[in-house]
Amino acid sequence: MTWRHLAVRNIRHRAGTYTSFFLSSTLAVAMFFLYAAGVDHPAFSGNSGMGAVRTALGAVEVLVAVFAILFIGYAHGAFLKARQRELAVLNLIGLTPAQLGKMIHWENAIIGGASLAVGLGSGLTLARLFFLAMGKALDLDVPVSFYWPVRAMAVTAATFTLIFGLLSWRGYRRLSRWPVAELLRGAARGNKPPRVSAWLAMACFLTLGSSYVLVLWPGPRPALLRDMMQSGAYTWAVLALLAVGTYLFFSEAGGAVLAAFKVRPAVYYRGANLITVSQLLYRARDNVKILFMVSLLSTMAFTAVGWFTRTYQVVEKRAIEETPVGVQMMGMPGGLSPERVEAILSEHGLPAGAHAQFRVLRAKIAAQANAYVYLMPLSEVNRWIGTLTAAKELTVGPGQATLLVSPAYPWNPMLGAWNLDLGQGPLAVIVTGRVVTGGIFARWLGISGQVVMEDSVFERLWQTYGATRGLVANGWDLPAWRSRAAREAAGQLVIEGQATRFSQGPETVYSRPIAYSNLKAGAGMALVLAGFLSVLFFLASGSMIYFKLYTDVQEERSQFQTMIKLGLDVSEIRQVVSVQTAILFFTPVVFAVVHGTLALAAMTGDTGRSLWLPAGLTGAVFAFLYIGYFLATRGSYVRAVMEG
Amino acid sequence: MTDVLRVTGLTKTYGGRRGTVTVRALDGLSMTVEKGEFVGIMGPSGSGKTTLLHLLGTIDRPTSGHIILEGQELSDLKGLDLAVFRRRRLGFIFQEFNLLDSLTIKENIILPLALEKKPASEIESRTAELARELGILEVLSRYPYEVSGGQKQRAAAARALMAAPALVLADEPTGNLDTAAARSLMGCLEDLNVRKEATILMVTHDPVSASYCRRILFIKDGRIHAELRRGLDRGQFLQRILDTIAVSGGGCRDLATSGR
Ligand SMILES: Nc1ncnc2c1ncn2[C@@H]1O[C@H](COP(=O)(O)OP(=O)(O)O)[C@@H](O)[C@H]1O
Ligand SMILES: [Mg+2]
Repeated sequence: MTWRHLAVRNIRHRAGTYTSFFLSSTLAVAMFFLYAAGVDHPAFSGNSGMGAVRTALGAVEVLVAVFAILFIGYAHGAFLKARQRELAVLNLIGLTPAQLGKMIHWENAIIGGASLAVGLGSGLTLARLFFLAMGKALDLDVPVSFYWPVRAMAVTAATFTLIFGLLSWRGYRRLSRWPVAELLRGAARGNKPPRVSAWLAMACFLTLGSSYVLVLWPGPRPALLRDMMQSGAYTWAVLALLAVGTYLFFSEAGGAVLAAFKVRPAVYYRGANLITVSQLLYRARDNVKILFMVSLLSTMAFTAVGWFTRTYQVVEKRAIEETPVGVQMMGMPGGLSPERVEAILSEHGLPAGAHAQFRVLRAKIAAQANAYVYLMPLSEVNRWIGTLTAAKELTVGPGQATLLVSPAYPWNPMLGAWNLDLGQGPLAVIVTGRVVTGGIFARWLGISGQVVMEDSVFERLWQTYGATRGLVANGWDLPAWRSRAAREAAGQLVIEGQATRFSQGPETVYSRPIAYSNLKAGAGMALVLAGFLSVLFFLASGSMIYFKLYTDVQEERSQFQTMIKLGLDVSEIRQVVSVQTAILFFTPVVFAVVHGTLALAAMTGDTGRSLWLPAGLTGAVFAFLYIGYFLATRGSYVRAVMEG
Repeated sequence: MTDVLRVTGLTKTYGGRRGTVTVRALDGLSMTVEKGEFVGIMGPSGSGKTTLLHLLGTIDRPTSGHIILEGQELSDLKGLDLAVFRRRRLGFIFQEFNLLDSLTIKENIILPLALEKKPASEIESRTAELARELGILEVLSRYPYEVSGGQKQRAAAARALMAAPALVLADEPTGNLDTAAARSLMGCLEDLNVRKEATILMVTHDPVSASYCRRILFIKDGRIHAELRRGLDRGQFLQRILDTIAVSGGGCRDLATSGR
């Protein structure tokens, strides 16, 4: 009989223990893979509007991997513990460390390989079903189709091969170091309740407190905080503080509450309280680990859904910000004409809205390659603003020229005399001011920026350069910009405008229907991913609790049998089980809602009402699902205890 | 003297469903126990001792026959009544201790009274009294895995006596103990029987342990087949027990060889 045979025998014989380890590993593999595949999805990654979100999701991938390690590590620890006695017996009959090592490595290789295969397989199937269903449900323009997530598969395989390798090594180290007597005693080995330390309690208070203060800062934030927010360090700092604080909270506050019970005999010695509290203390280390991981998971799921719900909520607002004018078109020589634009719009049954135009001189900044500015006359720009947008009109004093920059790209060059090249030798233009302003035209107009000048000055330049460098910008209001017709018309405009686009310049046509549908597709896709993710996280945290309770039941069955012999009746046992299960299920939900909302506020820099809807909605859905999971788990726990 | 326990025609058969072999573990057994008695039950392996104790302890139900404990017919009890009856009227000491791992020795002892929701002060004083009696005062704050088998079993005895039950049932309480620990435990039980008037029914197949009892019933094939009463001298009693075992022969060989 080889060690591989022994490993196979073991696996067959102790199906229950192995199954739960296998299932939790598979779950972790599938979860990680699904997440990675989702982030890579072309419909999602191809969308320019969601760049920042994509980066955030990439960072979360690391968190998911860390979680997978924690989760599998925990499951593996419980797995080892459940098998201590058996390994002790093998030890007693003379298993050498090398043989023990071989057996453990084979076991891990078999279980790890199987869960990798099954996890990837079920992940692929699930991903396909999920994207299909969600694409339909959200009516996305970009079809959320299936694809082969090669990178995700490779990353998953590599990550988990590494994880299983590490676990195998850890298992061997642990089992070969424990004395046989210790192994024999197995589960009865003492779990001393942890001691509560005043220092750690203080640290808990400080970490949680400071993260709350950072997020809920009353009034204007100080400069340091604003700098941190700019760089993203702020969000990470808040998240790290929350994570550390949560862990300390469970270990310290939890321990302190239980210890307080212990010194109050009037409460502690009352009925099943004695058993409930002492069991919680007895399993304190385990409970803290589980509570922490489940809280982390729930908070991540909550934050993800909340964040994307919010993103989806503000899509319209963002579309208006990005394209303040329904359709804007730069009239190019030989390109789209305003008449053609209006014809296309009416072909699609769209009433022609208000129309405005202004002239533009396209000038290159002499000293720089590919840096262009547009020169434009004040009165025409103001007419455009008044007719088509909700922005304030501009003022430029006599003899002055103002640089407009968009808040999204706050370019800040030296003001004063600019050397411009309009094709007929250098020309100095004095730029006297800079205004950061949005809501006037879409990004296209400003490769680098726009210079608005007094009409008379512009007119003089137009005389000389208008014929070669002059363009006319046109804009139309488009009240029906959300409609399908508008989107189709806009699509045609883009295609026809493409022909005469400057090789390195911006698009000829920018329209809100296109921006809107791109944003919606991106945000919808992200929402799909987030929903998906939170379902996964939800399942994972539920399964984790279930898994923990399952291993506990094996140990506790005899304990509960003793209690029954001593005269505990079923309702008291149910009470003992209920309290412990409820703590495991519901404390994390409270944390998820409170800390998830804080994290949302930290990520969006917003503490106002706009968070209430996503936070409330997500919280309610979570609580609802958890109640179901709780009832099912408690039921099967009580049944398992009673059947023994 | 009043009878605490009256058993008549007690029969228990196992199996028999769907073609399995039926085992008649108890076969019309009758017996009584008076208040303040310390009764030992002896018999060869498989003679039905544990079965009897389980029936008396309401952990299992008889096939037929009656068990009346302090005037209460046990088969009339169900559900919550049964649980409450069990923890008020009965105390258990098991061969494998059955202490709860998650509770300290003290918490294990107070559990029956805590379940009764007795005032904390009463619980404390009763615990102190029993712990002193059983010599486990100094291990009260330890966990079961931190104390010896003898201490565990004495803690279990304290727990069994906490609620001042009508009857303490002990199944091979010395089965997992070494000789010294066994003697010490039996000494304690004898003391509790004499000084606290605890009524104890103990199953054992160790003649030395049995010699601490006041009366011994011998079971064979599910019936009582002999009875011994102790005089003043324990040494003489032990000799008579060994004789009885030798006489019953055959199935009792395992008893004789285990005599110390
Ligand atoms: N749960 C059971 N199912 C079937 N047979 C049983 C069961 N428990 C005990 N028996 C049988 O009943 C008889 C008496 O068992 P038991 O009361 O445990 O004896 P003792 O404790 O005296 O050794 C034995 O033959 C045993 O095999
Ligand atoms: Mg027995």
